[in-house]
Amino acid sequence: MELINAVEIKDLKKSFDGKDYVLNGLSLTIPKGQITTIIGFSGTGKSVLLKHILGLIHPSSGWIHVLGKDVTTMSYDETIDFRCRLGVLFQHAALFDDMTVLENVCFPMVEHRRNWGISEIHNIAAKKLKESGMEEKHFQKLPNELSGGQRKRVGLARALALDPDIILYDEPTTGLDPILTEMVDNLILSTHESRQGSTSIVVTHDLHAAFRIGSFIVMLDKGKVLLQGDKNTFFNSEIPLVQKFLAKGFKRD
Amino acid sequence: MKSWLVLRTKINDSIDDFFLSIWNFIILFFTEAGRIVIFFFDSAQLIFVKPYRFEEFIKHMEFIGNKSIMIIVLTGGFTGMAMSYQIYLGFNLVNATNLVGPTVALGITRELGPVLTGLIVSARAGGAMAARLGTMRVSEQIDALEVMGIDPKQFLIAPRLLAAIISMPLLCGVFDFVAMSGSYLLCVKVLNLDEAIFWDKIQLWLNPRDINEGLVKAAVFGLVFAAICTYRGFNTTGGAKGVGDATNSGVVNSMVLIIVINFFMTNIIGFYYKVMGIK
Repeated sequence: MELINAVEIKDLKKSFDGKDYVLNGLSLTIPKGQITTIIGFSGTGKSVLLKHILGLIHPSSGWIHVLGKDVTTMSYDETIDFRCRLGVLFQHAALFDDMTVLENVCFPMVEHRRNWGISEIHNIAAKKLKESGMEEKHFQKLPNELSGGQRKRVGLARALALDPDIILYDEPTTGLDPILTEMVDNLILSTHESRQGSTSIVVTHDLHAAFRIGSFIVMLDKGKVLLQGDKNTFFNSEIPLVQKFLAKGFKRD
Repeated sequence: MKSWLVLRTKINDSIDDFFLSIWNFIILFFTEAGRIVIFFFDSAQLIFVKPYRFEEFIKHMEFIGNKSIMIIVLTGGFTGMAMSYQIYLGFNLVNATNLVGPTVALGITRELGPVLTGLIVSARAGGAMAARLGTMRVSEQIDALEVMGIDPKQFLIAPRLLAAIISMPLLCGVFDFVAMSGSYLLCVKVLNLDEAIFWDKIQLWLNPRDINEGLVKAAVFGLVFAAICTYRGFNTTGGAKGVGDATNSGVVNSMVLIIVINFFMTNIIGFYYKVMGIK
């Protein structure tokens, strides 16, 4: 049976100290094949939610199904296979600073595609880098020789290296200027369009980006989903906090 | 009367606080020690799990071992000479300069060799390990490894632990050799002690067991500093300040612990020889 939803979460609760809950009974369904943006004020649990989807943190209670698998009960081997089906672009790209651009993108393939030849891996990595907009002259550079935008491109190429089913973007435009922000947004859109059937989940503060690239938008508040739906659902919402968030976000820009 | 009561309460509170802080320190010490031990065993068992990280192991051997040789040679040579000179001054007073060589040899191989090697390498390589892992943690590189389905402890920690445990006895051997060479140069070439007596007495008093004792100690010190520094770096929080704190505490804790453990190991090894009837 084909999956309709990429991620299904029910009654997810997470507390780090046993008292305060960062996620407090969160239930959410993320559709497959779309770009979902997750928005919300700072401290509402967006990044914690992302880490739960990745299986980096275990919930205090509730369950999380990603690509039809329960993340909370996976064995070690299952977790490794599962993570190969996910690609992540981190806020600051998180490139390995002792590896060149090309080595960074080759790395996941060297680790998980051990039967592939090194020249084959190099070719695929070069292709991914070019698709992300990196020129060949930068391939042998170290990450600290790259600009912020170039790092994001390399980070994205690395996230795509194993052809993941879900690509997660953790605040991809935070700290970037408006031109770079637009470039990253376009990169997310073009990547999604070129990969038919893949799912993208973008956690962002940037309201413009959230509404421009997201076909399904989720707003979190106090560890719960406040509102989810398409753009119109948000613009027509009468929830005061949503109106305030939209007003502040668009006014500031 | 009232002021005396207030003062007495303050004094009582201060005494309570003093003992409470000692108690908290003890609790914290054992909690941290327990965490480091668990972290070490978690990581060390991954040395034997596929895929083997041979390339990483060689890289860290080169960093911990090869790149420390120069500093070990320098400190070893001068330590041997300084120690020989001080012992010569003392022994000369009682006309026992024949025993300068073996005294230096025993001191170097059993105590100073492993301890100084441990201190120097933990400051150089241990500090670098903690800083490197701390930076990887705060810049999300460790998270990136994890989400790629790569066990960060297997990839980052296990090869460092193994490299430190193997490199340290080798470096200690270099230290011993260079320190004894320094001692020979000073005693025979500068202080004009008899060369034949110098070597003969060393052969007479120094047992291969003494050298082995030092090498075993060095391996343990390698384990200690690698476990502490990787633990501190791996669990860094709080950005650049966190990296600084992790490096600082990693190096300081390793150095103190090396000196403390050396004392206990000396006694344990002595007790073992006694029980086994080895003289």
